[in-house]
Order: sequence, then structure tokens, then C-alpha cells
Amino acid sequence: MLPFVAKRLMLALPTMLLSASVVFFLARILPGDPALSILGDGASEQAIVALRARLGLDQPLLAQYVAFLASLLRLDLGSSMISGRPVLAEVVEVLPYTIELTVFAIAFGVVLGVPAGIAAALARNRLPDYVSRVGSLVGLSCPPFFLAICLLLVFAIWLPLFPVISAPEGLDPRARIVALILPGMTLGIIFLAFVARSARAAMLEVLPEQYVRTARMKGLSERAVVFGHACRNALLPIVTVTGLYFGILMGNAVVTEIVFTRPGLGKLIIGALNSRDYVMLQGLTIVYCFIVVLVNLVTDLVYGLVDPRVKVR
Amino acid sequence: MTMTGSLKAGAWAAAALAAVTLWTGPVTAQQTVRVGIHGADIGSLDPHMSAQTIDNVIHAWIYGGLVRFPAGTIDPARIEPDLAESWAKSADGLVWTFTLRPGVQFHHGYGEVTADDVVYSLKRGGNPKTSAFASDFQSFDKVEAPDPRTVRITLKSPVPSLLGLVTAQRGGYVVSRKADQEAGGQYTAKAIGTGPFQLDEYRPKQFVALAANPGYFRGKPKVDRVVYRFIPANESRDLAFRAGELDLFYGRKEQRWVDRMKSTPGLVIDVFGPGELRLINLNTSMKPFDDIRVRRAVAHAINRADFVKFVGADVVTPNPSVVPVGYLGYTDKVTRFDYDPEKSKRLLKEAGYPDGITIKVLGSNRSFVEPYQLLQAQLAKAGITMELQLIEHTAWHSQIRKNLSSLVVYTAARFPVADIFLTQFFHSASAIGQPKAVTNFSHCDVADKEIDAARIEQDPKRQIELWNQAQQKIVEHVCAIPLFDEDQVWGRSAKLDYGHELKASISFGPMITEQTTLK
Repeated sequence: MLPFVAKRLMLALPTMLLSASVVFFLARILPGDPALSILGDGASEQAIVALRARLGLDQPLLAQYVAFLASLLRLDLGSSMISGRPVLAEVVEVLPYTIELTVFAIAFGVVLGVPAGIAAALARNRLPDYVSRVGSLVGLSCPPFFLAICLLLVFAIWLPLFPVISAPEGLDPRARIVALILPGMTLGIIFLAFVARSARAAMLEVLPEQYVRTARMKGLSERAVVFGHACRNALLPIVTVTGLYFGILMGNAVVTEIVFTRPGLGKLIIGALNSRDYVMLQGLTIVYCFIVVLVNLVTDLVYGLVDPRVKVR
Repeated sequence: MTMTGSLKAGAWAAAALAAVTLWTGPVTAQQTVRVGIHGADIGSLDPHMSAQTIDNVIHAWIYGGLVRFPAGTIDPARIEPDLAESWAKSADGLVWTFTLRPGVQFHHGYGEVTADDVVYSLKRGGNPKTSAFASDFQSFDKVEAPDPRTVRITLKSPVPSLLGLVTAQRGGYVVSRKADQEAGGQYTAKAIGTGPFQLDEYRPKQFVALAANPGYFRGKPKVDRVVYRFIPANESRDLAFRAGELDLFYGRKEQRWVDRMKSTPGLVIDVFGPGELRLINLNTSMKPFDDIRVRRAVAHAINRADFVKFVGADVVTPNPSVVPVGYLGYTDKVTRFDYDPEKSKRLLKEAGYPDGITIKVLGSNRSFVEPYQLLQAQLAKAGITMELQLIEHTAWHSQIRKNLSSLVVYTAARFPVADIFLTQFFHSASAIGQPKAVTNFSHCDVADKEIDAARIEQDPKRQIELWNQAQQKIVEHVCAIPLFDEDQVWGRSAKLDYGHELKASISFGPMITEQTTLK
């Protein structure tokens, strides 16, 4: 398995480089100026020109690109043009927040979405199915910012159970978990809807299969048929969906992070985009690519566990 | 329960309480002011390197200057000593000598403030490589420290308000030379000042925490800590206040917001100066606004009263002049262009546009978005079609500085002396594209003579006359159409007492001082 993992990671290198290069040029094509962002709109032209020179933005584009490649060779993602702090340090600081939020959302979606989907499939065209289908449709259609505000109004204002500011000042782990629940639910509800629909479709596909019929004919209980035979095969698309959605959720987390005042990768990338922090944008692209590659790799490995027919070579 | 039983139970309860108290330590009520600001992160804690509101607000709590405005005011006539205890100027106004207050300490043990630190700071503030405000200091010839408690500034030519340049704001803030050299260009990490609060913790994208400066020369602040949180979503700040998680927060400059929030229990809405003047700058360097008749046609098409009604009478002050209300040298005795769309049409016809004109305008997606529609509608009535392209805010700032918009709607406030505003917005040297460009989007040059003359005029009365004349000329030539001054709008808990009356603040945010308390 190790050579497989190593090969996949090596293959990711050109992808990361290509993505970062595209972002390098795209960011510089966009109108906007990091120097103006830093100094503010009341700054004089002289100060803006001087800062552009200090940031190396007065150099020809090709020279900037060569410098960027050289720093990558040294495994250096550079320092933020705005804060001056190393990109990696900023990423390491916020990454746990994004991972915990995404993992919470995925766990929330899988734990509630899979049973909901299975129940809907087993009770096809009956009340549980209608409830599950309408619920997942609402969940998928609901904009995250709207859902977030609704949850805040209900659970932070009317029933003051959770904080509005979901990034506690102190380091108390309990406070951090409590603060994670509402943003996690916001992101998780949308994923739940997606998982419920996928699980229902997958179950509806496997339930008429001959092996399920055979299992019933063997005299197995309905529980054993559903969970022992049908579910196991229906799980494969759920694993695919979860793997794919991990990256999407990390990207979608930005709205949740802004409304709940949480730090995170999404907020970092939007901030970098707004302030034209080119170095941060390039670094974050590489980090995102690496995470997506890693998640895809883990998904492939999980396939092998779920379905013995899939072998890792 | 018998009496003995009750006593026993009471004794056990007292013992348990004592044990808990011993375990948790003595209960101390630490007073923390929790502030919510609208940005996603601090731009810079280096006071010379940022002109953004989000930074300016917190700089004012950390840093000091040679002189300052008394908290809650921005009246240049009331400037008072800060790090300097006294000052004197030569008869020709070219040499200013400041005597430093003895014993003032920098934060975190960086030692006593010396004249060397002040000289270093003022030179730093005037250097375009280290300061966003370098152009403010163009008249400086020399800054010297004849002895550790004396700072001498020699000017090339008199300036309207030298004290304004060395006030605790923008390039006038004093930093520690030692800390700056240690920081190696990253002053945000140090942020060593002399103000009532000192940097305790900076958690990027989350908050800056300040602790009371125990050695503050005006006395230790009454609140122990200030946590300055970045909460970019407007709704989240409102909700966080309602949930009791904030004591002070950045509001919205909208009547709707004021009306909606007024009924929130325990909330006080502070509306204060300086007003930021909203100007419609007409780009005289390009057609059709190179023709004064077209510019006047636009002026007659604008109904200022409608704008004031739209944005909200509680948060804006109508202003007919091109300098914010109340600045030294301000006048409202300027030409008024009555709202008269028919007259606009006649002027356009006279200028050779009988079928009206079409103008292309770049607008920011973050500022004035809704009022743009009102502007479009008003102009349309006069036969002026405004093709508006709303673009991302950062891109907009960049594009308008490349002279790509025929009309620029801009809002700003500066040090409350007419000279700075007039110079930056209406002097030809500040025009976009010039080496010393600032924000003259209209390429106005009609009042250069008056602005230059006022700057070196020694007679205060004559100086004010010249500024008044400059305003009249600029309005008359319609370089820009002033709409209104937008005041600063913040919300605070009724339990938070600033310790002073808040009428205006040069940092655009309330001052939290050594007198501020939280009940």
C-alpha cells in the first residue's frame, strides 16, 4: 500500500504546481493592489509606490514568477503581504478550526443522513419517504447564510444555549466544542440532505438486486438483509459522495465561518482575495490542492475496506 | 431538620464554599470591554502603515503623540499636551520646539520616551517607505533632538496646522525606536506605544486583546482589558450584542439600522463626528465633463434632500460645500445649484448634447450601492444615462486611480483643517496620475492659487478667507458635487461609560481611555 500512497502523492505535485501557477497569474491579472489594501485609501501615491517596491511588485511578472518557483523549491510558501507572517504559520493556525468544522459537518450528515436515506428507501412512497425527500430538498435549497442566521436566532438569542461568536477567546476545550455545534450544524444540515438523497437512491438501486432477494429466500431477518447485505453495497456511493464533498464543504465553510465569526481556511482565502494578498492566495491554493488529493487518496483506501473487489495496487 | 442538624448542614456548606473558593482562587472581577469591528482582520498595528478605519480605531487606544485632541472632540482649537508638556513656535512660524513630559514610559518595559524616539517617529512618519502619510510631512525640513527632552521641528514653509501633524493620529503617533529596530519592519508584532492600553495578544482573523497599561502617565485605566474582535458580518455583530457577547460595536450608517436597533434593550446608539463627506467627483479630464455646462447640468439634476432622506437624517448632515462641516476654514456660503432637471436639459443642449449624454461609471460593491440607484434615477430625469458597473471594492479603488471612471462617488474625512481636504481632493498636484497623486479624482485645478496661498498665510483671518474662496471656486466650477457628511455610527451597552462626552473622534471610533468604565 505504501508505494501506492507515495505514487499518488508524487502525482499530486504537478497538480499543485499547476494550480498555484494559474492562481499566480490570475491574481495579478485581477485589478487591485495589495499596497493600497495595506495602506488604505487615504495613502499617498508615493507611499503606495514605495510599498509596491518593498513587496517586489515593481518587478517584471516573469521575475516574480521565478522568485515564486524558487521559494517553492525551498518548500517555502512565503509570507503574507498583509500581515507579514509566514503563510504556513497562518494556515497551521486556522486549519484545525476548518478540519473540526468539516469533520463535525460530515459526521452530522452521515450519522443522520444515512439512516434517513435508508428509512426513506425502505418506506418508499410512504410518509417517512415523503418527509425525508421534502426535508432533504429544503436542506439542499437553503442558503447557508440564511440557515446560519435562523439557527443563531433560535439557539443563541431565543434559547441562549450557544454563543454567537463561535471562536472563544480562551483555550477551554469545552467552550470550543460548544462553539462548534451551531456552525457544524449549519454546514452539516446541507450535507445531511445530500447524503440522505444519495443513500436513498443507492438503497433503491440495491434492494431489487438478486442477492438481496436470495438473502430473503435464505430466511434471513429483514434487519440482516438490509444491514448485512443491502447497506454494505449501498455504502460505496456514500463513501464517494463523502470524499468528494469534503473538499466542497471546506470551500463552503467560508459563509459559516463569517457568520459565526470563526477563523478558518475559507475565511483566510476570502480575506486574501479581498486584500489581493497574492502570496497568501498562492500558498492557500497549494494547501487546498494537497488536502483534496489527500482526501481522495483516503477515499480510495476506504473503497478497499468497504468493497473487497477493489484492490489497491 | 433540628436546629443542630441545620447548623451542621450550614457548617458543611460553608466549608464546601471555602474549599471551592480556595481551589478557584479569589474572585476578581476583571473588567473587559468586548468590541466588535467590521473587518476580517487588522491591516496593521503599525500606526504609520495604515489609513484604514479598522486599524485607526485601535491605534488610538495604543499610541500617543506629542499633542492630542481631548477625548471625544476634534476641535483644533482645543488641542492639548500629550507626550509634550509644552511647545513654542518662532515668530515666523517655521521653528517649533516641544518639551517632553518627563517619565512617560513605553509599553512592556521599552523605557522612557525620549526626544530621540520622537525624532525617529516623525522621520518615520514622513518617509514613504515606512509611512502611508508621508505626504503630510512634505513641509518638514529638519527634526532634531537638541537634548533628551526637547524636539525641534524646522519647516521649509509654514503649514496651516503644524500641531495637526504631530497630533496623536496618522503619522503623528510616536513609536519606540528600540522596538521598531527589533521588529525589523514588522511593527505589528510589537505595537509598542504610550497609550492607556498595550498589546497583550493578537490572534489573526479573530481578535486583538489589549491589557491596561499599568504605567500610563494619566493613571492606570479603570478597565483591565479590551478585546477587539473581527466580526465582518453586520448581522453577527447585531446578534452578538443582543446575546450579551459585545459591549461596543461598529454599527451601520443607515437610518433603517438605527430605527431597527433603537428598541434593543440596553443599547445606546452613538452617532458622532467626524462626518465623512460624500462627494460626487466629476472627472474634468475626460469628455463630457471637460465642459463646465455639462458639469452644471449634473449639479442641477441632483436633489440632495432626496439623498439625505434615503440614507437617513439621523446619520447624515446635508453639506453644500466641498469640505466637511465644522473643519477649520469651512464655509457653507457657496453657490447652490437648485434641483432643476429642465435646466439640466437646457444646459446639455447648449453644450451640444440635445439628446442627453451617457456616462460610464465604476462603483464599489461595498459602498453607496443602494444610493447609486437614486443617483441613476435623478440623472435619468435630466437626460443623463448613467451606465453603472459595480465592481469589487479593492478593484474599484485601483481602477479609479487609473482614471477609468468619468464620475467617482467617494467618501472621506481628514484632519479637521480645510487645507488637507482641499489639497488632497482639489489641488492639481494631487490629481490622479501625478507623481504626488492622492485623491483628486476630478483633476480640479481651479483653486490651486488659493489653497497654496492659504497654506503659508500667517494671518488666521485671511487664511480662512482664502479657504472659503477655494471652496466657492471649486463648487462654482463643479469639480465635485457635495451631498452630505456621513457620521460615525456605533452601538454600545448602556453599562459602558466612555468617561467623556463623545462628540467626535479622529480615529473614527470611540476612545477607550483610562476613565472608561464598565458597570
